[in-house]
Amino acid sequence: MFRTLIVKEITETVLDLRFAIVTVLFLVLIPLGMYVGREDYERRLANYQREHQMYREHYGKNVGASVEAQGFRHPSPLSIFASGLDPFIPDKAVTSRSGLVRAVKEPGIDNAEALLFGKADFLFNVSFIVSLAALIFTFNRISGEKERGTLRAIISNSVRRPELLLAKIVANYATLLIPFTVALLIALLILGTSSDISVFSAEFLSGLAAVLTITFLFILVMVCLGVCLSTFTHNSIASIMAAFLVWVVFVLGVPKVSPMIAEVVYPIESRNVASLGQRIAREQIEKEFDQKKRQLYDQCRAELGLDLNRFSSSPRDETEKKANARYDQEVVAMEAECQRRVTDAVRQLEQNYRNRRSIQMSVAVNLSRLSPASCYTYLVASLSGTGTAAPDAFIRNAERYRDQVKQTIYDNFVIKRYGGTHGGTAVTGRAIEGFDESKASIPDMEYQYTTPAQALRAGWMDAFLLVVFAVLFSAVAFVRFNKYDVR
Amino acid sequence: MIELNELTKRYEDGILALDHVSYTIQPGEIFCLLGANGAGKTTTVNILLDFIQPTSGSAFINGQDCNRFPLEAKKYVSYVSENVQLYGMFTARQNLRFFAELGGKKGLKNQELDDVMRSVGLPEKALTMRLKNYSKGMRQKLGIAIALIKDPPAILMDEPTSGLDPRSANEFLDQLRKLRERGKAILMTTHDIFRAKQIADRVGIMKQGRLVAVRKRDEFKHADLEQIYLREMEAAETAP
Repeated sequence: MFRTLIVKEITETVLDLRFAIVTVLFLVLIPLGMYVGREDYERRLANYQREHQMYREHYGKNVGASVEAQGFRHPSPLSIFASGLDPFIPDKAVTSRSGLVRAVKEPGIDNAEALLFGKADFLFNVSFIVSLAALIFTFNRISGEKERGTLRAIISNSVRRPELLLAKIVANYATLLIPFTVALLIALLILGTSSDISVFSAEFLSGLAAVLTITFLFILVMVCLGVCLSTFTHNSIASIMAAFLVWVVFVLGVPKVSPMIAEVVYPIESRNVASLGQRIAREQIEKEFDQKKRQLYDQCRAELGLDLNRFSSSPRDETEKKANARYDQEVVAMEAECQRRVTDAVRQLEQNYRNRRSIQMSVAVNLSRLSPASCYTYLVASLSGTGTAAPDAFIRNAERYRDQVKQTIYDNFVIKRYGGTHGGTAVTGRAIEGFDESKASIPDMEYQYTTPAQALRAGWMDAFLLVVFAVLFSAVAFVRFNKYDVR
Repeated sequence: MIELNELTKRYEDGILALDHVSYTIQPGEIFCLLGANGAGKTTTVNILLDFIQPTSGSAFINGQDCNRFPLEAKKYVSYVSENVQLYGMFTARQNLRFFAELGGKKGLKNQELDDVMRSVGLPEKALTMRLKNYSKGMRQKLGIAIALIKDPPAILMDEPTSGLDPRSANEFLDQLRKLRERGKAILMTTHDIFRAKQIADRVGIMKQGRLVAVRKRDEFKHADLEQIYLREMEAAETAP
């Protein structure tokens, strides 16, 4: 019986004009989206390689004590599937001796039209086009049969209603996957022709498998939703209106409105304001310690009977050398204290900002999770390395890079500053013993994207919610259809 | 055999659609239910097919309770509606195969399907034609073919001759006679007193949910069934 119902449902769907339209749409848009994504990735990769190479050639050698090292982020191969936040994630991290790291995003890399209208990548095609196609396939599966009178004819036989509904879900899902899978295979062939993408690498394949698994689950959710909606209406016009309304709410409304609601409910300052606050805090502490150091310098000179008003950038006699040596000895603890306070203050401000931003983001994310399209978008973008965690991942990479530069460059130089409260400062910098400046080079930033396993672990809630949506829509459909008036 | 025992249906809006209706249709008998719109004819069919639940009473098909064991009861019944609506994009053969399989007849050969369609008078070219190109008469014939291929002991027909031209209606009645000869218990609801007189072994007259009269063929064979119908309706109106 179940097989009979499935065969009938598939045959009916395939003979329908909707199937032909959806097939053409899939065969055009999905490979095209993948082609555009591939071209975009290759362009970004070429830009990264060119910039990286030029930087190394011109600035990578003969580094000094206060060099600003630049670490470059290479594009993620999986970003072909979802460009996500990529246009907004910094391209490079610039370190400084003070311990701060600056994120830089060069403007003008992406074309304005692409940002204005959004890129038609795989994520867009699935969350917009495929989800709409799933609803178009299924919106009147029950109501249409009732309208035509065929539902009466079927139910007048010994057919269990749950069996009929399940057959509709399974058959429509399978039928929708046929053109989708064909289009996907063509798209993957297009990817395979790229010399820059190792399609058969373990990393890419695991990411691809995860993206496709989540995509198939999302399509199932939308099919269940369409069938569910068709049990709430009794004619095709009402069904298509309901389906379109729900699609607008789920795909356009909830994801776009949620961040706006979060901003109203939990407003926070911008990243620029937060960074400026950190900079001011750092400068205040440094200023305070600078004054203390100057007082210490005065004290060291006064104790040896030196004139405080006669400051010279280099010691003129043995007494001044002694004063400097004493100052060098005592200033170490003060500098360490200064560094500790700067680090603590900046870290605390940064942590406060991140906590508040995390709360705001959590409000937005949790609100938007009312829509399966949001859950799908979070997961696929996260798997592609361009999700909401990507900016934080960049900061983690940048901090790691800062530590690496500190270890390989900054720590190999000693900088000393001398100056009293009556004005004037002398700065000396030199490499520590055994460190050859001429052979030193700026290290590369080894950017680490989130692995598919990590992304799935972090996004388990979204995957779980997709399963919940599929079960919920099916359960509601079963309950409704059991009471459905087939007359 | 079809059996109704004190069957009553009151809808949510308070309308009494069936009021303690009881009758039995024996194998090889055609029972025509006559009545105006809203008399309860279609409600009876809907309860027998478990499309709606009765408020009280019970209905049986081949001894199976239609509302307690509907799947079991529906194994023994076929249904032909006023407008046989099937799948327009399917051919007649595909439609027939689908409903045959739903009725438990699996693995039928095309030849067997075609023979059944020929037996109900469908022309040769119609067998592989898509249903969207069928006339109403042809669709009704295919509806009979579906009922035939399932070969159940009981058949329910809801206004099956409505909208058929005289020739198609006569051909339809011929098919009914064949089914009666094969021992089927047939319940047919209709407004068409002329056709009912031609085919029925018994007629039941319904008014506002009540079965006001049942007449055997002998009682109306040589009489004016329309007059009997009108008389019974008037009597029901004046009855307390």
